[in-house]
Amino acid sequence: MTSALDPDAVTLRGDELPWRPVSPALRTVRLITLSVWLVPFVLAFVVLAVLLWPWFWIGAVVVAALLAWGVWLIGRQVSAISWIELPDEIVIRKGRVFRSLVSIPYGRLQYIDVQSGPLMRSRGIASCEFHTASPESGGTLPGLPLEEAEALRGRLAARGEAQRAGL
Amino acid sequence: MPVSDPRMPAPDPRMPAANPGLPRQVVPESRPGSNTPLNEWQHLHPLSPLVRGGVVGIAVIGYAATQFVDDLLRGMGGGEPEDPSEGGIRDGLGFLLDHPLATSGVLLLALLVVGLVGWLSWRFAKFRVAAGQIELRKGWLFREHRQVPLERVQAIEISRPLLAQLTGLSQVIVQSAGGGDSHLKLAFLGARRADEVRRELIALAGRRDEVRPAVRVDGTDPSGATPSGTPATASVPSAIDPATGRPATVPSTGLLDPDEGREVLRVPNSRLFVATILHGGTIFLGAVALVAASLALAAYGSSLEVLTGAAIALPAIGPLAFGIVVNRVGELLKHGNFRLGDTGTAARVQHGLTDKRTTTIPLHRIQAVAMVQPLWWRPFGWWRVNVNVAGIGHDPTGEAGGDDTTVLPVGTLDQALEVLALLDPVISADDLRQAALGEGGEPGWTTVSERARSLDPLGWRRNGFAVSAHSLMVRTGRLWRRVSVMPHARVQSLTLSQGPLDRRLDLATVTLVSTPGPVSVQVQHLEAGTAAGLLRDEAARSRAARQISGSACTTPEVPSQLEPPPPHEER
Repeated sequence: MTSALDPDAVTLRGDELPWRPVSPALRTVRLITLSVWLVPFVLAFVVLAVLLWPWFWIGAVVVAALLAWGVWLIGRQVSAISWIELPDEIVIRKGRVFRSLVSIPYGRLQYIDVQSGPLMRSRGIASCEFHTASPESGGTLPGLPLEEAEALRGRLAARGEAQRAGL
Repeated sequence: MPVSDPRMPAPDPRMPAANPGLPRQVVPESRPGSNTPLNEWQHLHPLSPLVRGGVVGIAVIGYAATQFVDDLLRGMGGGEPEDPSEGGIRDGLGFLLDHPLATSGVLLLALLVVGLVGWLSWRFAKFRVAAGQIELRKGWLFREHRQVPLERVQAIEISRPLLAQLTGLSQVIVQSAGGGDSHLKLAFLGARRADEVRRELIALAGRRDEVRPAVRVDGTDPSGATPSGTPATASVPSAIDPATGRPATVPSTGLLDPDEGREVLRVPNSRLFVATILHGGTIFLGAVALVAASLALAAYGSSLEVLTGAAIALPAIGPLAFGIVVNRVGELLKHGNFRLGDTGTAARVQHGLTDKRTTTIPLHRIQAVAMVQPLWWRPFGWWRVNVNVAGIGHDPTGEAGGDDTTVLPVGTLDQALEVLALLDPVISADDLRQAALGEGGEPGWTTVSERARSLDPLGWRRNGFAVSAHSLMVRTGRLWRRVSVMPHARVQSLTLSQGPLDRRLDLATVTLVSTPGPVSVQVQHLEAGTAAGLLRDEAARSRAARQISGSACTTPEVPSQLEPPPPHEER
């Protein structure tokens, strides 16, 4: 199916190729993580403001604003991640303000990590990390559905084996 | 005491067969320095624990010995009256001092224990080269077994720390691709044995490497499963060494003695000294000193405030100055006596004033090359050449080859070009000269967009890239010149990125990711279209280069190989 894809159309923001988004469950997971970190602070500030000193309301508002900003940011970040399997490489795009595009040839893949913590597992997603011989060149693909991630890992491992190049 | 005299220099380690009671692994024992074949388990040099213990060990032993003699004498003399002003530890030791016999007993016991531990660590450390792997076992309580497949060997290094030099020992460090701690260190062997081991390892690693081109084509792992892909291509023997592009008339097997390689160049220590001093840190220090001196002169006899101010400021920069000086001296010690040799298939780097090191880097392991000219070196026309080799460099622990990625610490442009020609004969020297000195507008070079002028007011005219059939060249820096060369076949992955400023100017940055090391290949602020094109073309080129594995790079001596700028640029 991928053979019809034209690698020439790989661009930072073009939509000529069937770029695939990550699972929207990633957004939920990240929102939960963010809330777990920030909501206690909001509550603490509110309690302090009520009990001790009204100026603590400022803190509460600031943290709540941070929370709102985080919620907005996560939505944008998650929707900006897209990826595609080309005949010879996997390409991952990320970011809106700071856009980046990583292209990893299958032959360069050393190993692939599929990780899924309890929270991610409860939402049925996993994150795929691609390792090459260079620690900085790896790409991460967070938030793939579990079976999709496993299938991708299997597929890429097989292709990597077939196109393996020495260092 | 079960062991009669286990102190390390004792003669018994040379006859370990006298102690056959160890449970497992009845191995043919070997005498160090003998010509035991490498495929049998063998010990390191018996002095190694002592040298590994290093200065600390010697200091402790020395201290203990002097104490011992001192106490003995004291005991014989009947003991002098104690100095009442001495308290604390002296009091605590009073008992021991009063009983010289007990003291010497304790000291002797401590020596015995240290010796026993050393002896055990020697007794349990064994290595061999067998079945395509080099293996090292060590540890007595905590066993450790480390093995490195020979085809993963990136470079082999011989290092002689000062103490080892005094005892005539060397350590062999086998560098493999992998995380920071993936080295295998044979510490220590006799100097001659170390050379033999290195030579054999290089030969073995090279021999396995000869198989690589075919393996690469049919796409199986070198560990030798049957070719599953296209066996037809696998049978075609490659007449060209894939990585170096030179005809493989000299196989890298034992035919060529690595020690008899051609010496390419030496770096005179005087030049290295000047070059080491010409450094941002020292120049900063000099400027500070100058300012301080002139201030002091101006303030002489007039205002005390300025003088006290200077007196306060000086200690403040003291630690900084100390750090800079230590750093520079370290650099000087590291790169002193620098020699670069060519063994035909590997570059041989010898360096070190106190800690002599010899690193052998197989040429086809080199991932990327960079020439750098700091601003201060410009009047002299000096350059430094660094390489990326998988597994070397970026080792935070530093000890195993912290900076063996420098293949030329300082040299003229011609020398730098010579080094690059050695490392990668396919690169044309003219192209490199253009890359090094070019200021923009040369044919074949795609420079940064003029829109990047506001982001990079000095470099925008010069920064850019050029493509040859074999590699991508990137030049940057008008003041701080830098040239990076990366063969297409070595690209690990490609990155295209764009920040908000870039986006406003419709620019983008392309990075060719290499293995960790001092060389990074990045073209910043290209026109977005050019950048996308570069990404696409480079992906295709590296794919092709990986597949044909070198048959494209045939003619080393052409004057210029730069391809015309890619067509998408005209769009």
